[in-house]
Amino acid sequence: MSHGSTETAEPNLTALLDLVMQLLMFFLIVANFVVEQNNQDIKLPEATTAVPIEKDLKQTLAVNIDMDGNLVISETDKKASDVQILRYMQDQYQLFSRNPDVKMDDVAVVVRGDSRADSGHIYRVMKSAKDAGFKNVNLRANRFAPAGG
Amino acid sequence: MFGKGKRSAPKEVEVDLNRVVTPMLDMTFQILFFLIMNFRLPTPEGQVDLLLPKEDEGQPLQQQEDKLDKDKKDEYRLRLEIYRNAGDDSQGTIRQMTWKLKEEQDAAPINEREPSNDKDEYNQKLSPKLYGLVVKLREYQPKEGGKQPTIKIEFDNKLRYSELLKVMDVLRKMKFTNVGVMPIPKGK
Repeated sequence: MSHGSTETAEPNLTALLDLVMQLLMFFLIVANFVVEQNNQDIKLPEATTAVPIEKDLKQTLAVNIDMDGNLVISETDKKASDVQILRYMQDQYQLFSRNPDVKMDDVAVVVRGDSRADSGHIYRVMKSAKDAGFKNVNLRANRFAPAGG
Repeated sequence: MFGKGKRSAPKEVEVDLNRVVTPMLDMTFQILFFLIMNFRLPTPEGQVDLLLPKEDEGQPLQQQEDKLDKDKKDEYRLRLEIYRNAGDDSQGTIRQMTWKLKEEQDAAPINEREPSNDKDEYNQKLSPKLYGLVVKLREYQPKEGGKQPTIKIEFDNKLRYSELLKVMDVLRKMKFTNVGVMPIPKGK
């Protein structure tokens, strides 16, 4: 009994591999790796006059303020009261000032406040930063067109 | 001894390339999946510089670019009053803006204006309240290289932060650089 010859059909993976590699390259290049200090849950307000972030700012202390006005250190650590916020700022100031490589005049406190928060809550964080000894403060905003209001 | 036997040709080794590629493709797909799942569009984040208040100046915060004019005649107060207990989306938004010289007692309300006839694209998108502010500020707008008036924004603590930024945005757009913010003083 004679057997017929069997032919195997293998898909050509080269084109697929090329495509996958290109996608991989794209996502690797544009990947916006989450900076630990920048809380992505904060919905920043919009300001067309906000200027691009200074790249030469060597030392920054980013503080995130959620919509309830809490200073967010991590998911489980939030500072709600004025005393807690001031103490946190003082601790951070001490940490910076102990570092001999840091000039305190160059340290900037970056306030990332949620657009839905009360202005009073943002203000108390800025004031705490000032009371703790920080000299530079800047606010973060999304550079979009005005949305009326 | 030698040469008599037929020399056998080396065996051809077949390499199945498809099998070699498969694990790599699997791994690549996993990496791709991870990257796609964690992909976030980068936001165009920018900064708004501020200078913290001096000890002797009390509360106000102002921008870094220019020092405050010491001439108090050029110091204006822009007060932002808000909707309270509205129970809807307007809660915490600007109800009315008033304007006054620091030394004056009476503050004048800033009237709403329709921006539809303005040629400026930015102004056209503003709300009537903010456009009213633009019209008001035109009277005080400094000429190029001229003296900057000082404007302090007094805000209610419950004012939504986004609303405050919108007002600051209008002021910066109109080239006012001596702008400070402070809560409405208690009892006023």
